[in-house]
Parts: sequence; C-alpha cells; structure tokens
Amino acid sequence: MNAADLTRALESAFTTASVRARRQGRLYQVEIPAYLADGDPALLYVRPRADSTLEVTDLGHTLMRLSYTRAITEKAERAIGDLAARHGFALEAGEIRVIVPQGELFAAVLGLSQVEAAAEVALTSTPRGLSVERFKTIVREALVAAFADRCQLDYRDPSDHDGLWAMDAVIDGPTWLGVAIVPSDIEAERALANKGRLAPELHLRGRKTRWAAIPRDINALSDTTRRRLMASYLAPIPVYDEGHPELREQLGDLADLAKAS
Amino acid sequence: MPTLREILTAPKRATSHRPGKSKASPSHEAHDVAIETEADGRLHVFIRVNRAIPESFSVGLVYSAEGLRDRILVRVNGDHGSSHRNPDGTLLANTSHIHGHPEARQDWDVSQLGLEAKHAAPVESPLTLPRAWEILCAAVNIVDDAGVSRLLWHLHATLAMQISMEFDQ
Repeated sequence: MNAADLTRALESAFTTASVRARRQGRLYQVEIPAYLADGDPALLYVRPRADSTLEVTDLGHTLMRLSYTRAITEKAERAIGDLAARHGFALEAGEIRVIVPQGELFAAVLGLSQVEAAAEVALTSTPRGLSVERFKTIVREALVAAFADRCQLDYRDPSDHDGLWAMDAVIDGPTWLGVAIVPSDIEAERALANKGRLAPELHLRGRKTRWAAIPRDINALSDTTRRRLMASYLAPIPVYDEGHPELREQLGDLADLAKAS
Repeated sequence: MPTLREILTAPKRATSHRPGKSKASPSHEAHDVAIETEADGRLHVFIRVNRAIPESFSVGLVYSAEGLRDRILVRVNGDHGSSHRNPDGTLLANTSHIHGHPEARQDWDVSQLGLEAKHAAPVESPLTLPRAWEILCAAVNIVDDAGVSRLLWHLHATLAMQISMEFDQ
C-alpha cells in the first residue's frame, strides 16, 4: 500500500458525500461520513444567499442535543460560543453558523462537524492543557482543605515495606476511606491493584473500610476499565469540577464523619 | 443501582409536562415530562423539536441518580436527514430510528452504561412526533397520564402550519 492507494481509499469514502434539499431552493442538508458519539450524523445545513455565498449552519441542533441531558445556561452557551469562535463560526440565534464562498463549502462543513463533535466535551472537560499531575494536585489540595488532619495523602500501609501500594489519600474516620484519584485508565488500574493489596490487610485488622474513586470524568475511561473500577470503588463524583462543592459532603458521608462528631 | 432492564421494564407514569429547563431557544422547541416510577433513581422524558425542520425531533428517556451523570437510556428520533452509524459499522440511511443499548447490556448496572445509547434500529418512517411518543412509551412501559399526546398533536399541527406558511411566502 502506498500514498496513492490511501488517497484512492480516502476519495472513495468522500464520494459518499451528498446534498439533499430540505426546503427546495432555501435549505439543503450535507451528508458526509462524520458521526457524533452516539452514532448520529453531524447535522450540516446550507442556506444559499443572494450574493452566491453560502451560510453553513447546524440549524440549532448542537444546542438542542446538549439540552437532552442538561439545562443550557448562559455559561454553557458562552462555552459553546467560544468553541464555535475558535473554529471560525459564530453562535447566533441558537445556531452555529458561518458564511463562506462556495469554494469553501467542504472546509466549512468539516469544521462544523468538528464543532458539533467537540460540543459535549466543551461543557464537561476540565480546562484545556490540564495535565494528569495537575489534576491530581488540584484534588489533593481540595481533600486537605476539606478534611484537614483527617486526610493523609500518599498513605502507605505499615505492611507495605517497599512503598509499592500507596493510596492517593485516606480519610480517617469511623470508616477508613481510601481515596484514589483516577484521571486516566492507568491511574484507575493502579487504584484497583492498590485496593487488591490493601483491603485484605485492613480487614485483618478489623477496620471498616470503603473505597472511593475521584475521576476527572468517569465516562472518559475506557469501557472495561470503567466497569472494573466501578465494581470495586464508589464514584460519588463522576465528573470532577475544580472546587467541587460536594467533595467534603460526599466523602465525609462515606467516612461516616458525622458519627465521629 | 438497578440494571437497565429493571429500569426499562418497571411500570412508569407520565405525570406532568412543562417547558424545558433551559432558557427558551429560538432554534428548538423543548418540553420535559416528569415520570413516576418505583425503580431506583429518577426518570424524565425530554421532547425536542427543531423549529426550522420540525421533522427533525428527538424524544428520549433520561435516567438520573446521585453521583451519576444523567444518561439517555432510550431515544426515538425523527428523520435527521443523514445516516446513523451503529458501533458495528452498519448504517441506517435517512430513516427515523430508536436508540438504545444492545441486549448484552440490558442486565448491566445502569451506572456502568455509557452516556450515549449508540445502538439504533429503524422505526416506521416518516414518523410524526406524537407517534414517536407512542413508540417510546411502548418501549419503556410508560402510561401517559399527563396528556403528553395531546400536547404533541398540538405541537405537530402548529409546526406543520408554520411550514405550510413558509411555502406560501
């Protein structure tokens, strides 16, 4: 296989692109092989203009889709507007759209499909560029702020002579709460291994234990890892936003701190 | 947490409907339907209709629970005008369809399901909004005690009139 073969393979896929009239003369729909997370197609429409330019628009479908599972607040609209603007589009009257000359139709529909695919992530992801280590630092700082002396970071069990099974944090209440910070699949698998090692030791000592995982976004984990993690850990906060207001309450309840006071 | 099968098969009752929680959008019509059920967790149905092309709509059942992101369990779509692609690569071309989870996942704990119901199967096409509601109710065992069907017939008629007037201009 060479570049020419790959080019032919690519070209054959794009010959499936087509345009369908939704309102003859006024509104057309472009179909290209671009799909969203649930398998539905990116929805791409074109309105011809009197000056022969084209308005490429989502007809409001992006915000409509996002509204299925969340309220579209002004903050959410601003986030989508910012996303659209980064790709050269504008969010106006609920539609993500741009006006282009006819020769730029292909680029515009590709760009719009990218915006539609990114929209869900734009509302749920932590800030761009936040590394795994930075996320872990943020959560560690929040745990210390919430639990003070009851929180021990980098817990190393006395039985762990080589320091190979350290828990990210422990909340020491009437119930011993092991906390794993899991921004990635690797960290989630590490959390599973740590619990596998520590749980029997704590059981032998008669400690009542619970185990909580704090992911960046539980649904960003791979399917298998997510299932494995949720079979072993509780995830009271499935998507962690900085300054999460429920951290203290959720984890405090799991550690039964109310019984300690 | 209940399994998906437990949630879908549990008897449900639509008890009320109201405009969607978001501020009113110029581009789509939004209504939410409160659902009463004995299954653990909370359920509601969203109804969304694109104003520019009302034949593009979606009616879906959403599951909510403490500590869990809301997830769509079943969703009935009007004709979006392009093809849906299933995870196995098969395409549903230009047809109304119903999104759900495959049989193999029906006995999964609902918290283990992904946020999106990616598997789609065709339904009758063309599909009206009221008929989509009937299909959803049948699929997830909802009794409509809230007059949703009447609301949707009214909405269907209103939007059809709007399209008719656009053509007359």
